Amino acid sequence: MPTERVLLQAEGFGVDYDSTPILADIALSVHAGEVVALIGASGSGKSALLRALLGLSPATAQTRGLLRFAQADGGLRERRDITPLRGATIGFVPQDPQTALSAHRTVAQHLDEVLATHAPGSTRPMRAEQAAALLTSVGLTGELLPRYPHALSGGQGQRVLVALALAGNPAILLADEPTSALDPRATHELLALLQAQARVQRRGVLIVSHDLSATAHAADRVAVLAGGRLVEIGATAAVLSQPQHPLTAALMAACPPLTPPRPARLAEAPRPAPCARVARACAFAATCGRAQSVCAETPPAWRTIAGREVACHWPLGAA
Amino acid sequence: MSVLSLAAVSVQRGSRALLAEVSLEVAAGETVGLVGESGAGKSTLVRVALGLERPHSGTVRWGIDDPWALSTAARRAARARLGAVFQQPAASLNPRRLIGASIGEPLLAHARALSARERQDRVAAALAQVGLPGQFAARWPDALSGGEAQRVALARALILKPALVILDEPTSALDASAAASVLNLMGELTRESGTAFVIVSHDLAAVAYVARRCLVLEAGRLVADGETDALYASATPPALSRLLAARTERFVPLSATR
Repeated sequence: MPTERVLLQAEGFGVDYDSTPILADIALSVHAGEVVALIGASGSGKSALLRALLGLSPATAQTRGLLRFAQADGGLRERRDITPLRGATIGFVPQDPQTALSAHRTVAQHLDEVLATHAPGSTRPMRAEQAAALLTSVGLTGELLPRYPHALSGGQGQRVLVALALAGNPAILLADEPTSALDPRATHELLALLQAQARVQRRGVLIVSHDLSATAHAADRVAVLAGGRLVEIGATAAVLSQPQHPLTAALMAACPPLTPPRPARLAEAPRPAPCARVARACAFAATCGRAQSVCAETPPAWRTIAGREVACHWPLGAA
Repeated sequence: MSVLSLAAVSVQRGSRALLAEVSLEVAAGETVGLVGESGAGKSTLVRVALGLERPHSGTVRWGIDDPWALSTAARRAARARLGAVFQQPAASLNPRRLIGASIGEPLLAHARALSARERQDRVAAALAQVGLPGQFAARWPDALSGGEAQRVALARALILKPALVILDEPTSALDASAAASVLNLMGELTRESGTAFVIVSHDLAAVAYVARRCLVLEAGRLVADGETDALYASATPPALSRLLAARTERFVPLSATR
């Protein structure tokens, strides 16, 4: 989407916790109108990236490189202190409604509190009107306003979280595993909602997930994170139909097929070395079946192959 | 012989029927999948099968025993024949207990005659059964990856050599690779352990990978019970067709030749 405004841009971005690199060399942008899926297994560094993007890294964390956010005038500006952007520029959709929402407050009270924070001068009736409009915008009705979180289904709770994230009318929506607790139908509906926020409202949507299969089809672009580094980024169709990084291919082969024939064993993806140790090598040098001596000696440079970028010395190439 | 049988089991919550006249049998050593949309009654069925909830009508049997006809103590003892694995691996392990102690805990309740040494041996054997090295017994739960924690949960579920293990969404909190490792382990266990398994999941492909027979629940009723691939191919009943249509895996996995 080269013509669309860039809303969020990371460049050479990295984070150290206690002088240990957790993330390194992150280059990623999110444009207006697009959905980007950031896919990473547990331990890949996706929580650290999520925290950094929200300005919620631990106080002792050190960052490197740049994070730029869109300005009201359309330009991009580097931001070190992200706190003031939270809610207004970047809206966050947490993972689990039952823990993200307060059990003893109604949906109306949650919405009112967030709206009051964004518009301190507003009156309660004004906010009540806005709350109803927000619920409508996520496909819910005012019927849910008096309900407590326990009386919401998983899908409804997740939509309430989206409504809360939208209260500050943010340019960017950042969703953390938004579908991991949902059944297939609710998953489908929630992804459609996030996609509409990109398509219709021209927001940039970044979905962070461990589940390539559950989120990828709703995304325009996919970025695969492993060992604190990105390994492959590109258009979803290109990446999924012909992955170039061995890890992306392995993540896909790890999903069982719905119908026969089925492999006797499912592929288990190679594990990357910790980020701290791989400044001079590929993180998969010790675990990748395709590794050659160069993989242990030089970090792979990014290259463009068939419509995506991949950081691998021996990409899979055309099938 | 059936290790679990339900006959016309119904559970009411207020005026709502969570389960309505559900009848099913699970044979010794068999692996059965259970699918259904949210609210279809899957979790209620799991609780009833495990004897954690008493049905309002109908009969549950573990082998020949009706758990609700037994005394509380006898029911507790009979529960040793069943194991359970839940969705959140981290939440199912006590963070202040070493893994070996967590796995061996059921032995303290159900096999009190064992010496400490014998318990250790059983824990080591259970770890080996789930493909983990014996040193894991001395680790803390926070040092485990999600896939490893699910293996530990399986080891604990298997340690009393139960006739049946029920797994409720065992892979849905895991990334693809960790889920694959758990499914590979399930494949081995279903072929080799002699234990019967019921796997409850909204991941239809995961169910089909381990279970040749599949049950479909819809609004508290058992609406299908048959060969998994045949059911998926027929895309009936409607609840299953909706689950199939909502599948988000639009790409063809590399391992498939479709």
